[in-house]
Amino acid sequence: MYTQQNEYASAERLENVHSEPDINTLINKYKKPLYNLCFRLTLNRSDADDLFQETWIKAAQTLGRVDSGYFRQWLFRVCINRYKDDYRKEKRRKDVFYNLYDSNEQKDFVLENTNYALSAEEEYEAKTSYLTLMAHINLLSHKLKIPMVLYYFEQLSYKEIADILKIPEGTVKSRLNAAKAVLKKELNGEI
Amino acid sequence: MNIERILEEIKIADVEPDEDLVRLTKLECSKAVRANKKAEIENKTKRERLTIRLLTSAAAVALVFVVLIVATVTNQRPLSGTAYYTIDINPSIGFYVDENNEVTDVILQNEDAKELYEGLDCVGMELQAAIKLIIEKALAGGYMTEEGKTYVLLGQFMGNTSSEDGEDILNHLLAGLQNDLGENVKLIGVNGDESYIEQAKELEVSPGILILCEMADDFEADKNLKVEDVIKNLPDDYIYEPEFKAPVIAVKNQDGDLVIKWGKIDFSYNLSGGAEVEYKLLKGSTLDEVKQMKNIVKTQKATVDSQITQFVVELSEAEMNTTMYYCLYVHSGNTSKLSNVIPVTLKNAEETTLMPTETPKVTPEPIDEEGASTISGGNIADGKITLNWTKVESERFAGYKVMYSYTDATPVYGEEGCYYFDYVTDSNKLSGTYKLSSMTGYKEGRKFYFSITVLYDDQSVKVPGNVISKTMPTTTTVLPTTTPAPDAYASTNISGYMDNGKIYLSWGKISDDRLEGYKVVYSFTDSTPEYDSSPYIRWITDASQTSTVINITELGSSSETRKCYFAITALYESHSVKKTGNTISFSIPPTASTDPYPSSTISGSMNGDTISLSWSQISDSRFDGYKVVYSFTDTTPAYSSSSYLRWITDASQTSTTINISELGTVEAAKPCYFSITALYDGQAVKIPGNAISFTIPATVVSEPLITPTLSSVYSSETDGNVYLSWSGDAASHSKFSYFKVIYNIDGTNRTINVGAAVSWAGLAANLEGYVEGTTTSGTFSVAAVYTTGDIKTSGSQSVNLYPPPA
Repeated sequence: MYTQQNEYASAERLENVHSEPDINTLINKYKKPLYNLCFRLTLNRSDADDLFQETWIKAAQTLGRVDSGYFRQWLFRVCINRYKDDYRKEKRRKDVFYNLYDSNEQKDFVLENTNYALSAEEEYEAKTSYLTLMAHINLLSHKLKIPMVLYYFEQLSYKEIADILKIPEGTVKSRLNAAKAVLKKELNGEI
Repeated sequence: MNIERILEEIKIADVEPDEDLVRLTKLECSKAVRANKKAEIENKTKRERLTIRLLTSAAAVALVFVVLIVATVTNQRPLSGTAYYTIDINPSIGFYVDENNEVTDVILQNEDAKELYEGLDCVGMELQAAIKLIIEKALAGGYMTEEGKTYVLLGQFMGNTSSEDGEDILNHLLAGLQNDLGENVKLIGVNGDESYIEQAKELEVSPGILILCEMADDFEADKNLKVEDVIKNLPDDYIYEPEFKAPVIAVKNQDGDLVIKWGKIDFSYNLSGGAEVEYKLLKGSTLDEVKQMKNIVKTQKATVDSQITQFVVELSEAEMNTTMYYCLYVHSGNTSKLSNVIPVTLKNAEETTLMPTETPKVTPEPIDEEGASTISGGNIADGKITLNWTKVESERFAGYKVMYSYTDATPVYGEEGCYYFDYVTDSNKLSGTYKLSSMTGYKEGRKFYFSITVLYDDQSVKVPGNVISKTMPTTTTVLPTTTPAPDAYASTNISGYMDNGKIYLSWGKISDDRLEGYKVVYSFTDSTPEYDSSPYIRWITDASQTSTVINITELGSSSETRKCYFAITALYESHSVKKTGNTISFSIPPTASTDPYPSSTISGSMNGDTISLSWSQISDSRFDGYKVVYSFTDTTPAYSSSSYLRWITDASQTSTTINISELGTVEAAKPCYFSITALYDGQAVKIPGNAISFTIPATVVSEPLITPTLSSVYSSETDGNVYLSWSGDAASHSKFSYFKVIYNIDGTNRTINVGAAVSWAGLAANLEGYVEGTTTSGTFSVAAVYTTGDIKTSGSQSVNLYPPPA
């Protein structure tokens, strides 16, 4: 049975033995962007934590094959694949929720972490609109939701998104357009 | 609020992962790394043992065979200007291809593949043909995966071709194969670089399976893994599902050019308006050549909302008397489709008509005699004949042509003198009733022959059926022998297509001096419209005019999709003879929007004499403008019952300023109500908004402005001064500001501000513009200036001017 201290010691010895990329260094470097992606996909800390850890474990298992120049895209791809897999399993459970948000935590997150560039009197209306929009984005199929998250919240370019999702740039654009069309249709009158 | 604007404005703040989470993650990763290392060592040992085992078992197998296997497996040469394709059904086969896309090497990756490939030799074959051969043999060999469906994994591994070119080539390949193989074969395309070949070799799996396992994420690549196991666990969007129907093209000759046309494609399945659509016009001297996409004549990109629906091709004399095949390739989203193939034969250059020829029967597979349909019936009643036929069961079924002829005892579609009532594409529809008068050559007492020609594939294969005959009934039993019955009045058949809100109709020309014209009739309720029981939309008296274009808005508006039937009634003998041909129909989309008309919300403020109004913007294609209405009596004013102050047609203008003087005289202070009425659809629809009010003060009657009167103007020779005086009444006005003297001594008007004084004196020589020895006179007037900006000027007078005394 390892103690925590022993775990650290074992890890250090291992990293010193072989010349492959140091997983700890990579975690330190990419922990924040990856966690942001996890959070924006799941909208709650608990699922984001799980997704974060599962992504890194998968990354650790296949590190040797990755070109260091494309590590971020690859890491994001692993995360998204992991998320989609979890989403498929959880889809049936989500159907029973009538409220657009699975938890108040999700709602609070949107409200607390959205930066409004509006006057005070417009903020209330904006918050309602943003909550509604975020909720519907969250309900999109992952095929449409993921490009939306990567483009609008991760601020990635079409090319970067295409690299991560391994689809043509044209497909990225068409999925974004399709997502916005779905949102416009669903939100007609709500916003 | 605009969704796109919200998306731009929402900026989710960054969140930090918890430090405990990071620490635990590092621990778990370290364990994973160690476990991986251990597994690698074990696998390497295992592979080495496997290899040794294989080589030592050579004794049990012919040495040549072993050498061949080893040579094939290890001969994974690097790609350089070539490509490697894999086909995984459960047999897994790989093809190396050269720059011409011809197979140079075949790699049989498992036992099933060896069994499947027995008796075949794909080296030298074109890639698409080779893949099709393998798949068809696999289907015939019973390599099904699920309830009659087969999953085929097509992997592409390129050398130095760019990934965009590679995607293009793969899409073309998939489209061509899907077209040939039909819907029961599910094609999945994956691609990667040559590193996958190496990795796959190490793991003893097909590189296509390796990529699939990566995508599925739950599967470790293993040589015993079956394709369907992985595919069933892939997310749905990984499967190559068709997202739109293949287009159907038609060709026509237009001033010596070939026009290839097709209808707008419905992309509503999964693509929005801005999605890109790519069109390629393919050409070939054989059906296979055109489907292999070796010759792309034209390429154009558009969007789902702005599709193109034709290509125009200049014809070349070099192609005279040859048959060329044309096909359209469409790609959008993740889907590519090929249209039907049309053969075109270019005739002698002196002829201006292009005659499409029959598709050579040798190319498609022949259909057995069982593929024919047996006709029966022929009962005639009320001027109509009813025909029945038997059903054809075939996956290649395209339609039944209900044929007739009075010259050919065995009418077959496409032959001279053979006409058809109808083209029935529903294989379950097995009867039809047709007007006798619509038949070309109809004549009482004439014998007609009837038959069904069944069409298969893209109408390239025709199978004629049996024939029945009927003599048309006569209404008189005795025909005058000296005066033969006049020739039958001909009808004409209509054809057409709908594109982008317009219906393009055309029909055959009737060459008959007795023809008075064509009525283009239509009906939403009668599936066989005719004049004059159905309304007509065109009355064409020029016999040579055989086409027209109808805007669907001419058919009236509706909020629902409606089917509309069209036919041509040819009129003769002062409209007493009416001959109607066949009927075609189109689904007319709704033309009236069912969305509610939005109103506009007004707000505002009042400051002194000014009222500032603003309102919410309307974004609606039906919008005409805003009426800014007001009323002192109606608390909810609306146009047109209330007066309006502004008519604003610019939807983006959402504010205006009103001066209370525009509201007219107000005797005592009272509220005035304001509102915005939004107008739509040519101002036919008026939607009032909310109302606000402001208390308008009583109107102040303004004093009339006073014009000063110049009472005296004189100049003195003695002292050289000019003296002016005028009436001072203007100075008592509540809005008076000051007086000014206005003078002109050199052609330029100049002024002197004199305040409230009612006189002025000054040396002429000191006036600006005065030139000693030259200036001898000037004109003078006085003006009263008011705080309102008004200026009232007196009349002017001239005086001589004198220099100052020496």
